Amino acid sequence: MTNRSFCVNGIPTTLPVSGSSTLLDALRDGGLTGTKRGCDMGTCGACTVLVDNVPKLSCVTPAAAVEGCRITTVEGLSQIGIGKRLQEAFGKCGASQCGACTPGMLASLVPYLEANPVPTQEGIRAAIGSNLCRCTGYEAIVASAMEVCGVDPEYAAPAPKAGRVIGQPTVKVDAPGKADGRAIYVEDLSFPDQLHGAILRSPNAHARILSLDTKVAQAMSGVHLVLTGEDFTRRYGIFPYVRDEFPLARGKVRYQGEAVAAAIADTIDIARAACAAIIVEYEKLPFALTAEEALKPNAPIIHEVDHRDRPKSDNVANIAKPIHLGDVEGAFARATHIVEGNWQYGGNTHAAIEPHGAIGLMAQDGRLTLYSATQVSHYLRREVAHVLGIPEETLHVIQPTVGGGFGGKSDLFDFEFCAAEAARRLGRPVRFIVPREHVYALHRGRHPVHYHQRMAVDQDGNILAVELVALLAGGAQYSYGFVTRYYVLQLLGPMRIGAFHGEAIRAYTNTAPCGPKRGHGGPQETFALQTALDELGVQIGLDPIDHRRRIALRSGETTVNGFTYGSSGILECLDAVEAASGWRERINNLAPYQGLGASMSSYITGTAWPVNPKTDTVQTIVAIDLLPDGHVVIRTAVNEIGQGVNTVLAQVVAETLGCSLDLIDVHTGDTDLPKDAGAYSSRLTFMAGRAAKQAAEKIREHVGSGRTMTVTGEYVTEEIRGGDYDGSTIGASPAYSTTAYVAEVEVDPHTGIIRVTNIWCAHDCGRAINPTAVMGQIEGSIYMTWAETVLEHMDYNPNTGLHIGPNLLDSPIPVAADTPNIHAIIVESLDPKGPYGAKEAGEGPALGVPAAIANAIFRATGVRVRRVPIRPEDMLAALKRVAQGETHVVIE
Amino acid sequence: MWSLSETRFLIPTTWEQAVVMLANEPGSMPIAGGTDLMPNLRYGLASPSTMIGLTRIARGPMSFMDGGTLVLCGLATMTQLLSDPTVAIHAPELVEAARVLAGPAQRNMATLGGNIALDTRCIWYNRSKRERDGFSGCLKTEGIICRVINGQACVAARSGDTIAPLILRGAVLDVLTPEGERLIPLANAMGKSGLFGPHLALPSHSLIRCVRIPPAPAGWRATYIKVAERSDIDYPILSLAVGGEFEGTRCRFIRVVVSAMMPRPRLHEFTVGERLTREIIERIVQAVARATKPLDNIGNPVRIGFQDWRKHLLAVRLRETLTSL
Repeated sequence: MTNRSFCVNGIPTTLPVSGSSTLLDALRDGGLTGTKRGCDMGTCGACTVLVDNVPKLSCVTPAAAVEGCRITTVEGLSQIGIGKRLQEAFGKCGASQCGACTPGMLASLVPYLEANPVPTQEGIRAAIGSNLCRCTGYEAIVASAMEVCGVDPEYAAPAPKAGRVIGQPTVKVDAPGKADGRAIYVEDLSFPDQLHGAILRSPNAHARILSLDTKVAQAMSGVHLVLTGEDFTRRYGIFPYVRDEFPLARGKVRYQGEAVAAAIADTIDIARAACAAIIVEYEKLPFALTAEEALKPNAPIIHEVDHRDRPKSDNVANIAKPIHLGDVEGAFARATHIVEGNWQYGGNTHAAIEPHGAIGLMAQDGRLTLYSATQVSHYLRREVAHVLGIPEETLHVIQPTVGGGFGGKSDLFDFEFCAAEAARRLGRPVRFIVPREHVYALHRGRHPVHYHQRMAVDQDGNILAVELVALLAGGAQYSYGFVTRYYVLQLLGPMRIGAFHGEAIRAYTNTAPCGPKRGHGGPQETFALQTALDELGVQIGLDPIDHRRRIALRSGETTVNGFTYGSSGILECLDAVEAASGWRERINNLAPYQGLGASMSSYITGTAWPVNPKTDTVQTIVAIDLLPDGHVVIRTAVNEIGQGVNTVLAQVVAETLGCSLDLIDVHTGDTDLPKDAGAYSSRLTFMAGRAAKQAAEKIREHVGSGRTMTVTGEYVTEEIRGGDYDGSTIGASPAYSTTAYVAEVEVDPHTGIIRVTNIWCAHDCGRAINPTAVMGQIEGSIYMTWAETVLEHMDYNPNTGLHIGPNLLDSPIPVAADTPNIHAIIVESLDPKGPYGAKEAGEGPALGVPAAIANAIFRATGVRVRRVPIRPEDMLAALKRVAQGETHVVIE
Repeated sequence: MWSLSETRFLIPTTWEQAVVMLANEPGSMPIAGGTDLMPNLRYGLASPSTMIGLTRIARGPMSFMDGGTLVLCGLATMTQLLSDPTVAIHAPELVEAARVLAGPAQRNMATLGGNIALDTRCIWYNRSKRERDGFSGCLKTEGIICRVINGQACVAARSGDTIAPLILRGAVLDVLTPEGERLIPLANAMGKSGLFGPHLALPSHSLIRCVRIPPAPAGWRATYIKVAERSDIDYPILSLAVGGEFEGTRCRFIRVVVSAMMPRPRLHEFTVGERLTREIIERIVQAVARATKPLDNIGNPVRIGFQDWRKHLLAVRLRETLTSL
């Protein structure tokens, strides 16, 4: 290490730097943790800082090379020109959700806006071309840049005011800290005496571990502990009744990237070197990468025993019991029009900008603390305690600021167990920060699903029956597959359907385990349903939006599988996207190869049943302390992951108490706080919001009394608006959101390249408690499934069984310039059960985008797309068939 | 993501000092912008014991005219090329390449010399050690066979955006070696193999100090076309420079450089001598397409038909470009 001088944020600074230190490491090790590490490969832009006022990627800049330069990080941006105003605009416009991209985004924008005081949309999008955002769809970021320059951002104004605090566009309580670098993420935590952990992962898709030799690694100087599969004898699982995973592989590996061993050492470099020194002898086994391959009679068996050690002779992970509702065959016999075929939805992954990470810490009183970037603190505590064999109450899980979840941090992960176990054994803090490449092995992303579908309608377009048979590639573990198998069948709203038959098989495959990603099973199913509906509507000659109006379920109505709408705003949603997109004037006057397509969807507002109905009947408890000085403290374990739940709770309590938001502090994300199940299934606004309102109502009369009081409110599963058949509890929810979409596409007939230019989305979220946050959730959802439709993938090489590129270059996520203009519209159909009528906004708007795009492509080209992602080479081949006179060209 | 192996970091202040350091320090490697090199080092594709950081070298102007020749500093960043009025006048096709290279932050870092010397890329090569262990490496790393062609030649692709327009213009590298200055036409520096080391056929311990672009003929019209999955960040899946000399409507000749397909960019020259008719354009397009064989070393091998589509895309973009020249 050599001491080198820099001028950091205006202050002459000396930092110890080695020849291989990057500027990012030098800054972060020097205490400036505002600059984030997203990929360490110069691809995501989270680490962007200003070097002599020029945005540069600090993770690929050798620190020594910029000695003597002026370095400006997010912590110092407020001193530069419009920096401070831009930071404030980020809060006002909702440009920071998880906040992981924010420091780099600001660093790119500040010099650009200084040089271009009257910026254009295109200019701003180009200026942030190196900065990937995973939350916002870039809309709010662009809007905040324009706002700060006094340019009309052409950004739809959020919803009308509803209450004093409720319904008011509100700066999120954590927004300022995310814009100035104060927010502390797991990697930003640092403890005296801490050790660093690294995990050795399988290079093979399927292999027997013949031997594992850790002797050399253990003898290395600076290595404190090496953990292997032998160190963990208990399995874990997100569902405690189907525990099937060991933290470290035992006997065999079932997918590339499965954790095999962990090394804990003085430095991360030593820990990684120790991993490299572990000698593993593998016997490679044949592998199955797709559900079809895995279910063949002679397929390699991935799990020889099930979670209860019973022998297993096939790769069936989960089967959904056939759901048979109504007279399906009779309906098909009566139908005037039927569509039948195969639909495919490819796998993809969350790719949050912040990789996962955890730190284990042994307190002097013998209590173990685990910091983790998790969405499910309580489930994590339950399973770590189980695997380590310690009482749950002796484990304390703390969730720092989380840099993006989308479902990707809602399972339990190898490194979390390793961090806890190593901290317990060594009595020292142990940190595991997951490298980007390994995030693709943790995965738990969108399941690849193949459907065989039949849909029948009468001459008026009423759906008489739907039959869905789904095949899911589950990856190598159980994970959330227990519920995914049903989600891919049961999200049938907001359509009136006469009869329904559904079956699903989820197969184990030698790929990273799949799990929940935003909309959990819904985008796949909605894609199949809403494109089939479109085909039938065209056959009958119905306008797609009119057709959907005809079959839309209204408040009080019930889906074929028993989901009852406490409120349904789907008609208003359809009206809104029809008007906003200019559908009536445009649909019959489209330019060649331009198309508009519509779709609609419905989603749950939390699961009525928690993952363990035996022990988790109370889903949320919110405590409120009224302090003598008038301050109000909200305490609950809910997981704020950038979606804005902390702000929602503050607003609900402020509204109910009639007090100012400034008087409210929110403490969340800690298992020592009153319990909450976690951030998944779009449940928190509804469930935690209700608990908060209930608690606040108990002390309303005491506000200003000078008394000290603590009250609690809770949400307990009560009346469920769901069906009554095997599996009906999955997807049954206390309330359902509805959404309508219109997508606009242009297809290049010469290349097959598809450009989605605009997406209009009207989402009925019940009461929009924080319209700014709701807009952000809608935009982010739209962005995410648009990207799945045209760009992203989670593909494996059929010859090697390996991921084709676990990095952000080979598995790209979109940049701002390519992201369509997203027009989010809030529709408020108040649900009598929701807090102030609120339902959900975080996931529902993701469901219908792929179908709307596919339907627009049909308008543009005459080609029916039944496969996502849609590739230009396939589009081009299909266009050739159309040109040759084929009439019903389908990409399936 | 992956640890960088420990190195010394030397900071020369003159070109001469830099080449002497390169020659005297065994296992040393120059680094300029670092946007491509640093990820490769993290993947363990090279492990220099000494890095020679070039960005502090005292240098003259980023560009100047030497008679009719445009001389560009090897350390000029893409952003500097974009804002340089001299370059805009004398090498607009290069400016276009600089404009579409990666993303804005990368352009603030990436240098012209670095982009020319960019290591070749391949889906089997740009991989971490753990991943390479899963398929026993390739010819360019620990393996014994090229995974793309199942043979003994490395076909990793030349992916620098600036290379095609520079070859189109007959650019010459002004290379400094410990023995002195050498002028090497860029086209001659392009090795046929994608292997590291010989991937750029330059003398050992040499640095690209300047790039000399001879004057374009009168009536020269040219442009650069890049196709990538995204508008920013990505390396090209197709890199195409097209130029022609025109006298009124009469086209004397057309030159096309195709890159990002193979280790060696391919220069095609067509004498025209008349108006550039649709038929002539088609002949050029077909000739170029016939000679281009995209390999499964760029892009997603699971995408069936992707490489044929890449070739089709080449034809479409070339046709469009020639029509609008």
